[in-house]
Amino acid sequence: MTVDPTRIVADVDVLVRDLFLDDTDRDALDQIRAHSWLTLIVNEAILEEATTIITAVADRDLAADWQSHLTAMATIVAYPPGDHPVISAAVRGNAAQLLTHDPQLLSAETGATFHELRVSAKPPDAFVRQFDPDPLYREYVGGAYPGPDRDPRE
Amino acid sequence: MTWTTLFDRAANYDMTDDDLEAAIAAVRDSRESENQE
Repeated sequence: MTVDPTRIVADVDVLVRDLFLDDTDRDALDQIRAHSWLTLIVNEAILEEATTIITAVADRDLAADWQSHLTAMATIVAYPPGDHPVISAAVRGNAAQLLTHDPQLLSAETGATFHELRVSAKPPDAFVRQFDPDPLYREYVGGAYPGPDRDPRE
Repeated sequence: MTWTTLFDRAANYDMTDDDLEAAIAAVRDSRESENQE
């Protein structure tokens, strides 16, 4: 399977924390929002779980507006029922990076599976520390890195 | 609507890390139960 380091899956926990907490989850997703050549990958299962949580802790209008905004920026890949939502999104989205806080997905056992799939699962703070757009841009887009090309909060 | 607007609306709920952790854990438990069936 060919994976692409510019394609990044965000787990439900990261998406929800991005919305409610001004923390490293938001810093991580700001990097994706700030670079048009990075692609956030989600599927219907991830969207549904996140929307359920947002509705439960806030309200339906906020959840609907969040979903509308997120789907406008993300690439939505197919989700076969029965698949693990996040692993499925990574595989079907050819994503090389997966942002999550889920201890099960970050475990050594699951890590071996991700290693075979060439997917790197990490918490958002590690992504923020390690993310270096310059070499990524040069290799996968081409030319000199021009800096962020989008306002991450628009 | 901008992300800033969404973040401002969400901030009105004063959610803490613990609040979100509990809500996320409930959904995650449900996910794992479904996967084990």
